[in-house]
Amino acid sequence: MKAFRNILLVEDSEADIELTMAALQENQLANEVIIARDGCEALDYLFRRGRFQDCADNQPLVVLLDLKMPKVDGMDVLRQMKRDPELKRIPVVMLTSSREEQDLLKSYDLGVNAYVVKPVDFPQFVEAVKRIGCFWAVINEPPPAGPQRGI
Amino acid sequence: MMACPEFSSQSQAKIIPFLARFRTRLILLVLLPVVPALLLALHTNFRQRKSEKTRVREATLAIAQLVAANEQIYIKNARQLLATLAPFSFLVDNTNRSFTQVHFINLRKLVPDYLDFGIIEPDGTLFCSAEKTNGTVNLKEQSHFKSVIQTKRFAISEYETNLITCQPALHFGYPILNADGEVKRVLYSSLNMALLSEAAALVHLPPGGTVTVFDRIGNVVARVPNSEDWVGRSLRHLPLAQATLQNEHGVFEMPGLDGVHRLFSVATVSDGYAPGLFVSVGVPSSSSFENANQILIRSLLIMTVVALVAFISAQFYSKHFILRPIDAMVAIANRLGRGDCTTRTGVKAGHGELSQLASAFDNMAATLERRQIEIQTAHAEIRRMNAELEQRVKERTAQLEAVNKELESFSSSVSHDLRAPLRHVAGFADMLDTRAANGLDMESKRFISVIKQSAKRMGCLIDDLLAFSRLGRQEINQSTIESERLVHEVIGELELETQGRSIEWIIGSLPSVEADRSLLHQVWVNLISNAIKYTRPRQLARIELGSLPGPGNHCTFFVRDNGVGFDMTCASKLFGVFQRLHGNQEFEGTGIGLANVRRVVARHGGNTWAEAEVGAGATIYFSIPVCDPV
Repeated sequence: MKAFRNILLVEDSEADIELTMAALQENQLANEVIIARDGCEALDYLFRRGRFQDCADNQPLVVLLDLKMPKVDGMDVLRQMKRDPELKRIPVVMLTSSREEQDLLKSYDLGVNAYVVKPVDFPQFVEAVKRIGCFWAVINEPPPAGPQRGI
Repeated sequence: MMACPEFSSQSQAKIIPFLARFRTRLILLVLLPVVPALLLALHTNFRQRKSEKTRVREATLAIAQLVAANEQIYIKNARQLLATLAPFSFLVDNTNRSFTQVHFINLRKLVPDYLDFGIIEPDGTLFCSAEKTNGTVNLKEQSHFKSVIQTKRFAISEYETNLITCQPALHFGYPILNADGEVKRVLYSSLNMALLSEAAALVHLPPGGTVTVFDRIGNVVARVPNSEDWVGRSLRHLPLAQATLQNEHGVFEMPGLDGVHRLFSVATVSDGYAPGLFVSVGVPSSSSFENANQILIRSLLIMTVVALVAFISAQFYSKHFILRPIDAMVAIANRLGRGDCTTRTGVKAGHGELSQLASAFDNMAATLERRQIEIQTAHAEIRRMNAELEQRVKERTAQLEAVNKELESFSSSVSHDLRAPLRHVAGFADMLDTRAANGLDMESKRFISVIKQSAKRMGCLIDDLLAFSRLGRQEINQSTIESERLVHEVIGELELETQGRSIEWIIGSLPSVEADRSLLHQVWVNLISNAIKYTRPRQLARIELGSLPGPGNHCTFFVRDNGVGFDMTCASKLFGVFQRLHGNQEFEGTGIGLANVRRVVARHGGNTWAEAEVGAGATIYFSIPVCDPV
């Protein structure tokens, strides 16, 4: 069942997408990685709006969210997700360059599930992404799939 | 009107004691001249009474003498009559009783003042009298008979009742002598006593005046007025009678027979040889002072009127010309005391002292009002400036906040935007290295390695710079920190770096301080790790941690090592950001550690400095305020 669920990567930088994908591929995960290039697109996908209207009603296993993006930034995406009764169960991992205290506090206040600062050193970066993929896709037990309301 | 600051004032009008009141004093002052006038009037009265007394005394004496003269006439007449009859021997020596009696009866008819005439034998038996007698009458006990027998001279009797007529009478006796000078018979006459009172009444007496005529033994023989009540009574034992009999020509003052206080003058009526009657004239003391008293009363009346007029004028004057302005000024002073500076006395300008005082008061009030307005203006100005200042502070705060925001966004950009391309450089260089590993020569591979190393180093620099910037902005949460415990913790944390090294730790006494725990922790980490790092070439490293008291309420901590040290000429650069005194190949690091130490210590109000010698080790000092030993 896990195998069918995908990973949503929200990232505006093509270089970062490429590096992240390279790192994820090293994991050899079977999960499909869906890429949203800004917060707006990510929300459209999560809420099945616009061009994602007809996508399968299959929410991602984990959302890897960049913080600083044009239009809607990562913090807004996180806020809207955690405000939604369904989407709030989806684990969100901040994958960002910022180690700013304010960003950390705000993210945790909004209910982020993990906060990872991208290391500058590439091997370290690969290691970090590999671990994230491994943890959320394999080790972690996700919430049950499908539209299930809270008790 | 502008509100004045309330002054505490005892403005309530006090009750002024009666004698302290201005009006009372003024009235007393005005009435003061009346006192000597009063004394003068009393003195004059006293003098007048005295002179009046003298005058009355003289007048009464004159009256007494006049009365005495009147009475004297009777006695003189009686004497002359008896003296005229005595030589007529046919009458006096006659033994024919009836013949003699007829003559005496005729004589009585001729001189009706007399009640009786008669002749007494030397043994006292009555020979004959004008009045008819029944049987023998002996008159030897009668005073005039006894006196004549004894003195052989004319004599006046005392008050006696005529034994023949049985009427009160004054008897006169006259001796009829023989050739040998012996008394052979006594001729007598009896004067109607009422005549004496009539004679006394002829004198004009002042109102309330009395005339009393006594005989030698104090019997009243005549009296004006009320003769019938008094004549014949013996007053021998009364003070008046005694005083009269003793003060022959004197004047005295005492209560009269009717109890009224009188001034008495005494005159005597002589029988030719000795005083036979005493005349006492009395005038009431009151009447004698009447004149003086009237003058006194008039003076007192005038003085009362004067005093009354003075009193009323003083009252009026003090009220209208003094008290009114003073009251106005007191009211003004009270109002000024309560802070109302617009008030004025309203007293018209004049030349008087009070007008000047009132005008001075008004000037004072005007000055106070001006001052008050100045103060209020100044207050308003101060308020306006305060408001302005507050506004400026707000603006500056807003500006500062904006700058802070900018700084935050700057550091956020640095952390995110600068790091992202760096990561890309490193990431792609790495991927290139992996992918083209076999197609690249050694030199190209070195280039890629340099790119990766540089990117990594830049990442470290950015991280350190961000950390340093955070230290400047982070809030300080002060608490009491036990330094020795903190130092042991830090050494424990740095165990990884000390593995395989032989280090001698010398830890002295380290006092507790008031500081932010995490920041101070950072300081110790930086300093101890530096010491560990720079003693690396030593076989046996020696790291000493200790403290010195001072300066002031600070405590100076130091970390001393026997490491490589540094040149003291570069000491000023030591605490600068990214300033390094050793090559990167020799000792790793970005050069931010001591800059962080200096910033943290400075934010706690302390200082940092260093001592070193190349090859002999270095000592880094920092001072931190000590917590109060409470």
